[in-house]
Amino acid sequence: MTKCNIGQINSIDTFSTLDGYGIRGVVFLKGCNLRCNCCHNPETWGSDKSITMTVEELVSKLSRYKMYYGTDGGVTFSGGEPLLQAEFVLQCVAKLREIGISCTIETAGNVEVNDTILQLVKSLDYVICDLKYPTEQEYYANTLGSLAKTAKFLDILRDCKVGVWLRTVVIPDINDSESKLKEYADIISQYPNVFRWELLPLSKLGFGKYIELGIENKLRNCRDLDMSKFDRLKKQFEFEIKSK
Amino acid sequence: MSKVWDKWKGTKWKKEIDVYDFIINNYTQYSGDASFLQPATERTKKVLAKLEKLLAKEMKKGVVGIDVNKTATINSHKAGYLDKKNDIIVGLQAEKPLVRLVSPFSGLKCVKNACKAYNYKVSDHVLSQFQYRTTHNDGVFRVYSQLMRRARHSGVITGLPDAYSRGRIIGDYRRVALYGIDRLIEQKKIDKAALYERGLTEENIQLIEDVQKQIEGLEATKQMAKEYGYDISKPATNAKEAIQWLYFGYLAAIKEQTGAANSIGRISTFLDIYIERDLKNGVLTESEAQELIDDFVIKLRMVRHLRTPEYNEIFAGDPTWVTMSEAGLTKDGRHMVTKTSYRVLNTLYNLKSSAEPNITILWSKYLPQNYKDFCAKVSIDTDSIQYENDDLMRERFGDDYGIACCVSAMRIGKQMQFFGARCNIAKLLLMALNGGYDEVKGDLVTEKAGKIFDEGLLNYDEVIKAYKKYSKMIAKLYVDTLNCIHYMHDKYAYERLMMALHDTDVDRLMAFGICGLSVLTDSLSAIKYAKVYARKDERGLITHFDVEGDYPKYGNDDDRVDEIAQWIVKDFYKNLKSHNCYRHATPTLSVLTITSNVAYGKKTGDTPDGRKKGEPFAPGANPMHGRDQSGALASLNSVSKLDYDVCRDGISNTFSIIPTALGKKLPEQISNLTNLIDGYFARNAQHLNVNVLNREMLIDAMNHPKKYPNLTIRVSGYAVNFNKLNREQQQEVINRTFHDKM
Repeated sequence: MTKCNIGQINSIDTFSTLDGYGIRGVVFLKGCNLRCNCCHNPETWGSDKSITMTVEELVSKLSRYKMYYGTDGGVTFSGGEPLLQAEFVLQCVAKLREIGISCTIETAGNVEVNDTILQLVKSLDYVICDLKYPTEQEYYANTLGSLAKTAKFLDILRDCKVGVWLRTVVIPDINDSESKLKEYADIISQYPNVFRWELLPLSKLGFGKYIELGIENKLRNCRDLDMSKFDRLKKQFEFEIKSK
Repeated sequence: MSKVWDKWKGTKWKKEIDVYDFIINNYTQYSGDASFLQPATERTKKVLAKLEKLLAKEMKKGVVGIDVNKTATINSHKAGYLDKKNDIIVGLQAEKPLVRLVSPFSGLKCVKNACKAYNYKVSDHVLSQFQYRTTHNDGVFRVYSQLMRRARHSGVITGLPDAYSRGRIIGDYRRVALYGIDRLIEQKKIDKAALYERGLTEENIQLIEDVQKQIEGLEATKQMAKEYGYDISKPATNAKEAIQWLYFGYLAAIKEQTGAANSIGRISTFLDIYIERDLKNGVLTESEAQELIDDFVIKLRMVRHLRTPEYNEIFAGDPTWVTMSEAGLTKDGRHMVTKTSYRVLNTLYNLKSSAEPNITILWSKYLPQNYKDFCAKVSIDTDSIQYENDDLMRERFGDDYGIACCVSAMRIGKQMQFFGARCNIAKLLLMALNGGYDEVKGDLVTEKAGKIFDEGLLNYDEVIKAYKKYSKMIAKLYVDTLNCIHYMHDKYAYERLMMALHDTDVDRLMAFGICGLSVLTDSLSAIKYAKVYARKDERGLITHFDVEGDYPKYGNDDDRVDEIAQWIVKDFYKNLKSHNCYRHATPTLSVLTITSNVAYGKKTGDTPDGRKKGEPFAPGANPMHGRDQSGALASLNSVSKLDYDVCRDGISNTFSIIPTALGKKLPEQISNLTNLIDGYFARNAQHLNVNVLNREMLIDAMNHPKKYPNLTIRVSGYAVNFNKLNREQQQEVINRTFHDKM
């Protein structure tokens, strides 16, 4: 039990508006089971430079910002892959909910769902999940993960009626076409619990981190995204059903 | 009783001078949204175009003109117009728009230098007038001691109003509109007569003379209005007159007072009473009401003072701080938002965005959500308003206070302040380490040379002991210096009209200040939590520090270091409070710099936090650039821990953000910004300057990175300092950020 009371954290950002609704405190947890080519937080992959915190320490830190959250905001557990530390996150979420702070996670959903994870997702306002690639082959090629796992995760969320906000990073020459995004849309149509699908343009701002960390950046020669095309795709595919 | 008051409620304000009582009994709350607002009329657009032409000329030449032939007083100049046919609210300082006046009462040298800088020369006529007249500046230097001169020269006490006018006094200009000048004179005459009953002590004789000067100022103002064809001896009878009367009061005041900040007070709820009545009576339309406010604001944007280039170096952008305080709550919890609160904000759309007048929202969590949302929208669209915590200030200043300059609260018409610039406390620490020597100039600042710290590892307790000793010494000198300054200002450059628009028995504050708080805090934290080694130069003075290891930094919501900041302000205030201030003023303290943090940094050597000689300080109470690494809310929380009760003159915090970091779309941005302000003020913080950077600013930041050292760009998941991106990346951010608007 003591082991689960401790989390490995990369960093905390006390102010974000892009990781869920409202003003968010974001906890970037250490460790990831995927190696996505478009990852902008590669520093969270390994366990080096990890900050160790107990549930109490983290909750006490996050609770200092409660007055800013309003009715929509709260805390987002991101990463890395937060579900790799599900027990820790579960305990944090329980404590945060006790003091009136609602929570969500940003996950790739590429994990085996166990009881802890099940309990965790049920205690969240909604789950923000990446739908990275629409076929097994592409999924593996670009993340080293498996689409089937994420699909299974989404199945379970659907069965438990947990709302899902899906995200997809749009990358030039990989998935920046109407036909490709239709494949995603077909998958999403099976999930009535998905209330929002958001497309994010590939950002090159994190590319410097790869050089600093000495990690190969597979997208380093990627051309810039055609923003007017991206806008068209956004208009065509994105949706948001307001009552979350 | 005046007939124009007939339908208005309340009795107290009719019997005595009490604008507040009038407002509270007659204002009409407005909780609706902004949809009633009207765009600029054709006339407004025409007049604005004329002003813009002049502004372009001013931008090119520095000044449009200086009238060097006359000494500026209330009546020195004939009527002036921007557009005689089209002006609705009339009155300019000089006969021609944007022309600056020469007012040497506070200091002739400053006036001469300023003229020279723009290739003008003060006329012989003006010079001859001042041949036999002592200026405030002359007076101060007659009495300055050696020590005061040294402290001033070294810059440990800096920005003192000893060569120019002090400013920061808010006349209750509403009184002119509500009562008319004659009634105000009548009251002052009664007050004057009563003063003789108190016995003619030096103190009372001074006040009697003051009141006589006030009466003369009021008479002169009446004459000035006559130049424009208005008789303001009686109360204003409608909205247009109310604005015009009020503006005449303000104009008269600033014609002979060139202080850095001449703020206009809390006027919109007052003016709204007149506008509401005219609207109800069918003599004014909404479009006309907006036009009145627009034209008034155009006049306020034309306020100009003659400044030296050195002054502009400290206060970039020729600011006049015509601060206008808006909204807030009454003591019994009613919000004071009116339609005119909206009309004032609407000028930022109708007349385009502008730093002046300095619109300041007295924010309460109980303001109507519609108004909060509109303020946030205006912030995002125009980047031109600041927020101050009414829930905090109302308890201490009542519900009819206004802000002077940036963060200085005072009860309108009841309280004034003696402005006192600031002490550079980062430099003070270096002075303490160097036994009283100035680390830059090498001169001895204190009376006797003290012990210079040894080279090598600095011990926290010893440093604190020395700092405390020098802080006490400087605090005393600081109080003495301000006492000299304000004694002389009252004597030689008394604000006769501004003070005429105060109660005769006025409550006085003496506003001290500090700069370099985050530098000193981090320096002490470094000495306490890391290892700081002092190094001496060839003069034997400590001018360099080696820092080994890490230390908690102010701005990360870390109590270990934030407690040091809390202690610093408390300790400094305690030292100030132990001395007597001129005219029984109550000392107050501010943690405020707007742009002057750059200039103060230039005059300060290496500091133990690792900051290098000459590098800028952070503005106001802000954490140092790039050291707040836990996100914006952690930074806000750190600043919010400073106790307003020891910093009653204000704690300034500037928050810069790009619109997309506030949320993806405007409704989200609005909601997040209002929640952010609510949250910050719920922690008893006082002030937030919200800087929502637009595309033009980002391009400017790309071209002039030094102007924006702390510009953080946030995109999902991480934050980067804008200046650390290469040009291509910056361009990408700009294109991305403002993509939707292109």
